[in-house]
Amino acid sequence: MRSDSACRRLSEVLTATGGVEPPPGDDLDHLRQCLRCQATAVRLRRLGRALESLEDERYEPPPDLLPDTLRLLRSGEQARRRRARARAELAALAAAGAAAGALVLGRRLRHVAS
Amino acid sequence: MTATEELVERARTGDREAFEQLVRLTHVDVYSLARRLTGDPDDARDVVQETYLRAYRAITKFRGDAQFSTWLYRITANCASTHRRRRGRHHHVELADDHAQVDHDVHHDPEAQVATVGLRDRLESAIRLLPPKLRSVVVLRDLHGLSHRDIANELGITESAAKVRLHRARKQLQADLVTERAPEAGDEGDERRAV
Repeated sequence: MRSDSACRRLSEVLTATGGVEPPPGDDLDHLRQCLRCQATAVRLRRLGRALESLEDERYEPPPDLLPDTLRLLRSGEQARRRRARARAELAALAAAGAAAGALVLGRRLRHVAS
Repeated sequence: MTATEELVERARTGDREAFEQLVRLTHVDVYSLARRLTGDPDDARDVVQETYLRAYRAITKFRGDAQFSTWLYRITANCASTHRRRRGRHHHVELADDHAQVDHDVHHDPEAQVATVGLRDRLESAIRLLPPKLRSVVVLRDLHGLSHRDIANELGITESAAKVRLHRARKQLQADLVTERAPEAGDEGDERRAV
């Protein structure tokens, strides 16, 4: 059995699974009898294996990447600490201002009352 | 508990030294992924640094549901995607739906071609030539083992879109390897090493 539509459908199925899983039912029957689809399956399995082999390959990073990244992290943390300290100081100032305002307002209210 | 897990635990509590040790342990993998996702050494460098900055800020939220490396890969994918959008560069033309997918010419003997030692270099070239959207998915799924769901989350697409892109990427790679396209964008083979 060899029909273009069956081949096309099977090619879709095989590509989705990477050719490693047997296709279901009728597609499997077709695969057993169709040399073209068998070639497609072989090609896909080999592609899958080639992709797997790339998993172990790494690009060599530029030598200054690691020190630069660590420096960036440290400077980022220092900036974060500076911002946190500035926020804390601002909050303390605001609290002091509010307290002073409340004190003044209280005195004036007492003054008006008396 | 593995040494990496111990470092992660310490980093989660704010130990910067532990986080720096994690950077030392993982930066080659992260750079390789970034390089494959961006296809450019300078872009990869930016993505790596952004990845670790984000990871450092978010390490306290890392719950350990996935491996630390998987978590980093997800951040890398997200950074690469953001970087690409920000740069607005598109070196590649999107695949048309009627793109020739499979070459059945018997003269292009796939077994003979695939068996050659240069296959991995050709495959790297073919991956580099993929449109970025397809390249991201095939690199994350087939080379780094991320799930469709993780890929979809980090790239901001649906899970089914991730599957469709993977499907198209594999077809394109298959076609490119069989038709033996010449490598482009410079020879980067010397920079890679097997580990």
